[in-house]
Amino acid sequence: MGKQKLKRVKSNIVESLELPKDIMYGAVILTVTGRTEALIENYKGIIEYTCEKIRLQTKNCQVEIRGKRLLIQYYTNDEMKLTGLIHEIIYDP
Amino acid sequence: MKLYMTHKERQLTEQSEGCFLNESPRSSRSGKLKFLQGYVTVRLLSYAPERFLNLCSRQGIFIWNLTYHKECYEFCISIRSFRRLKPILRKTRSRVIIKKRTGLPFLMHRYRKRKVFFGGIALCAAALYVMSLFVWNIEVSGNLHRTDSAIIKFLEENDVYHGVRKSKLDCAALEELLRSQYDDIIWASVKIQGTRLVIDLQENLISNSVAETVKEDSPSDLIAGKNAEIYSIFTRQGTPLVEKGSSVKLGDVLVEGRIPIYNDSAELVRNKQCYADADILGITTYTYQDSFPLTVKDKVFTGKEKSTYSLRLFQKMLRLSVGKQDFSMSDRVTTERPLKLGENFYLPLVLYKEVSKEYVTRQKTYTPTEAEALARNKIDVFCKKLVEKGVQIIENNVMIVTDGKNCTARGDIIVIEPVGVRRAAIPDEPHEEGLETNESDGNND
Repeated sequence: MGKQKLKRVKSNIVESLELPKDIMYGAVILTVTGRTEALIENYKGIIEYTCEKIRLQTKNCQVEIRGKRLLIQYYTNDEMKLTGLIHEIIYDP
Repeated sequence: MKLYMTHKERQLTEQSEGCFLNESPRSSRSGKLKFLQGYVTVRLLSYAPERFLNLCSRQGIFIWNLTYHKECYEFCISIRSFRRLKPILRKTRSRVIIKKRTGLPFLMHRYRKRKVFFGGIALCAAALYVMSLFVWNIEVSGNLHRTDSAIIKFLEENDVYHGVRKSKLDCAALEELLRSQYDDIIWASVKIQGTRLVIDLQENLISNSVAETVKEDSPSDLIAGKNAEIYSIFTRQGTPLVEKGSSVKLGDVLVEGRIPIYNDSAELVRNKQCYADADILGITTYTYQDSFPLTVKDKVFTGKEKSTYSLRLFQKMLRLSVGKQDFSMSDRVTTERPLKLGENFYLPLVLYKEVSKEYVTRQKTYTPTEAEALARNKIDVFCKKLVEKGVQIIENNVMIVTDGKNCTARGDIIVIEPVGVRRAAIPDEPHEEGLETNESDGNND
């Protein structure tokens, strides 16, 4: 119960001070250009990667991107660029 | 060539190295930089590839073009990062196979035995750079009265010459110098374009034309340039002293550059000096005489030619071709080719080409008709030259006589031509005061 309350207080502070949410919550940012290019920021790690599917761990959830001929153009500690034909983006809790 | 990094059972030296993030996220890292640093395309064989990939990103190892093939991954990695992979490979019990090497370090390794070649490239680049520090061509434009060579010579006297260091030049000072040194240059622009020094000038044309007209107004007479009989005379200004039909001798005054001014009682008040102007045509006589022998020695070229080359460096002649002249009689034509850079930068090097053409002499005798044709031809050439000078031929009395040995053409050519020659007027007697003040009304008289 205390945890829930803390979360609410934090969200209130963030909302009222207009702090950037990606930093405060550690939320993942997906920038998808058309359906061939995706830039993923704030991820934690790669769980699975094949040509058809890539599964990433983020702070709050897992993101799965399905498509064809997926290729990681580059990736660093907190940023990844993905190209290929994207079919779907799925958020798993 | 395969490079295996097999895992061995050893203590995992935990993250002792590679924690420093010297490779920042470089989404825009250019391909050229990658090429310069060198990179390898490797295949990853692993049981837990995801772990390997995550470890790489944790340690700040930059990986790009990561693709999935059946059972394995392929990616590109820079040489420096590749060396840091070892502990990770050990930890994840995987191995990598190098598929392809790309980049300058590998090229350098491959061509390590061709140092001279690359040295030559570097030397060439250096030479190009050094040469670009100098002025190799001076271009002068906009000058109408001053010649290019005069201006270039003037510049040379002021330490601006072909081959001068560009850094030594001060364009603004040079402009100032040109303007101050030449009165008629009213505007000058000096700029350096690459290795060229471009000088644009603007000359003061008005002052030149004013000078001309002033000169034309100065008092002068027209005198006879040769003995002649006056064919026609048309006076625009001045006092004519001869009339049509009168014969004049060389030096006689034809039109005097002074106008006598009389008062109402027909007394001479004074003489007004003026610029005599008239068209005077006279009938003059040219005496033509030409004689040539009927038997002549004629040159016949055998068609044999020989070229020799020589070089002059400063004042020293240097023969390039060996071998001696073996023609007893020959015409020699020497062509001189100064070597120059650009348009007007002459090197102290002159190339000479000498062509010897062998000939033999042969006796030749003209028949009377041939001789006459030749003489007629010569006369025609003479007349043609006269006509080109602007005279009109009215009579041609040249006779051609061919005797046993010679062919002689003799006679007079009578022409009409302009005979007036300008001469500055003799200075006036002192009683002519007030010339300038009375000039305007004097003109109308």
